[in-house]
Amino acid sequence: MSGRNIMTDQMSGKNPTGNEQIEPATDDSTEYDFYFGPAHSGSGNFGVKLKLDGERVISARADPGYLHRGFEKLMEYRTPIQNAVISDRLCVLEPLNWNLVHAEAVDELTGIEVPERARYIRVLMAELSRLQSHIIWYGVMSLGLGFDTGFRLAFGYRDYILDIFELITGGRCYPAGYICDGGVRRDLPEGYAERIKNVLDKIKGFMENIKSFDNLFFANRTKGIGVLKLEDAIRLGATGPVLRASGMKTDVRKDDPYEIYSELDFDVPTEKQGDANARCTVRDREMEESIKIIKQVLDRIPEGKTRKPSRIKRPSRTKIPEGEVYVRNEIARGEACIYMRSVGESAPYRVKVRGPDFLHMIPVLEHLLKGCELADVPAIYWSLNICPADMDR
Amino acid sequence: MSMVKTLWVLVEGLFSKPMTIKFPHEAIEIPDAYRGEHKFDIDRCASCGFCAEICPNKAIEMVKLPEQYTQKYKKTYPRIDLRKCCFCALCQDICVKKCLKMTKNVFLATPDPASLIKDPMPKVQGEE
Repeated sequence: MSGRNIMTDQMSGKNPTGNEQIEPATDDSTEYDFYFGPAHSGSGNFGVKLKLDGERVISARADPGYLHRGFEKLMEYRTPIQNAVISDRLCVLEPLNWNLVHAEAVDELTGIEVPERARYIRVLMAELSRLQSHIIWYGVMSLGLGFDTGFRLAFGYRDYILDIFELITGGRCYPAGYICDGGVRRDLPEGYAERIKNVLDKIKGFMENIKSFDNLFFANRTKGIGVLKLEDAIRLGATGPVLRASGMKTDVRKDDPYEIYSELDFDVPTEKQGDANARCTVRDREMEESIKIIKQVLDRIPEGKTRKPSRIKRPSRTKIPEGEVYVRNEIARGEACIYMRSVGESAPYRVKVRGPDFLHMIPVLEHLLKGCELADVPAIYWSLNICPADMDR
Repeated sequence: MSMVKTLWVLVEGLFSKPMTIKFPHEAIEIPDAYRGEHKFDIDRCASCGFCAEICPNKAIEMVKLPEQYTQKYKKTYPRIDLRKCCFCALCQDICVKKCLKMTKNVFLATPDPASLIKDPMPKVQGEE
């Protein structure tokens, strides 16, 4: 935390974010403002303004907008295949899942029936993306708790999955709209199944290493910290692993199945405690479920076409039928939704992106940080597995 | 017991292979599907302009060639600005004649940003 600069700014009465003036601290006061982010390696392009009394957080105020890039407006000027490329950037940590949400919205508007093979490939890539997103989360969570080795280990193993993405999509982090309207952009290359199985074996080794969230390092920093009760989780709009860690068994893949999830056998892990440790355990068990899903998909994947129509159309020849849709998917962080409206032109009239982190990063985070110790802020912050990119969008 | 496990992990770490490699002396293999720098074959180009139309970042512009080439190449051809390019390969996928291809070249860092504008024909020495 950039404490020194903030203190210097505080002395001069200057606010680093420029939102409102900070009152200079008086000599007898123990209350002061403290900025966690947005230019801090542990906060990820997002700022939280904390009001502290000594080491205790009195109140927390989220400060969104630092990473706003205007995707919703950009999408109003581009055709679906161009928007598929843009949808990667909605969340750097799991671009393929956002590709899938966007592609499903367009498919529902156009009414195209996606080929069976493409549906399997979509789920395969979405689950690999979820797996690597959870590995990143383990890395940043470790970094937040001061366990630097965990961060390096996680990012090393994540690269094995990025090798698979590079092999299939042609890019390591950004697949450039690999999952697009009508299917996927290209077929799987030769020998993909063996490569994926090898990587899964390595990931299992990694998971054995990180297995116990009851160990000294994790348990001491996360047990009983940032408890989110179920009624609060529902009231504040939590979704995904955050809600499941508070005791509610809910998952869009089960409740409102899309693609081929209804044909697959997997569990929805839940915990009851609602603390940071429970959220970690849920994600750990979710990684095992993702591996289970990927293996099933690899065994069942059929032959056939991967996109309908197989050729990409010119923007001037593209037309999205009139209508409006709202689709929701389960991504690594929770529920990702896209509302799309078309008036029969080549580009959508309106696209509204509703990322899972909008509610996790503002109401849930502010609720959890209130009353905690300053040293617990990173543990609570990262136990929510938040991504400023899909909130600010 | 946990101390024994910790020591075992340490010993294992001493004898296992590192996860990193010594770049640039060695590098990981880049797959064929990689989306790197473009390669353009002007003799196959139909000048349809589909690549310029589909480019989401408007990084491709259809331009006329310098005078010394116009006798042979009369139409307009794609000029690619790699500074704007997001390497999505939509231009490669839409190309009817398959004259635009993405290569495995990833070494694009340069002190001269102007060199990242790829003209359809390589510039002749001394030309503006």
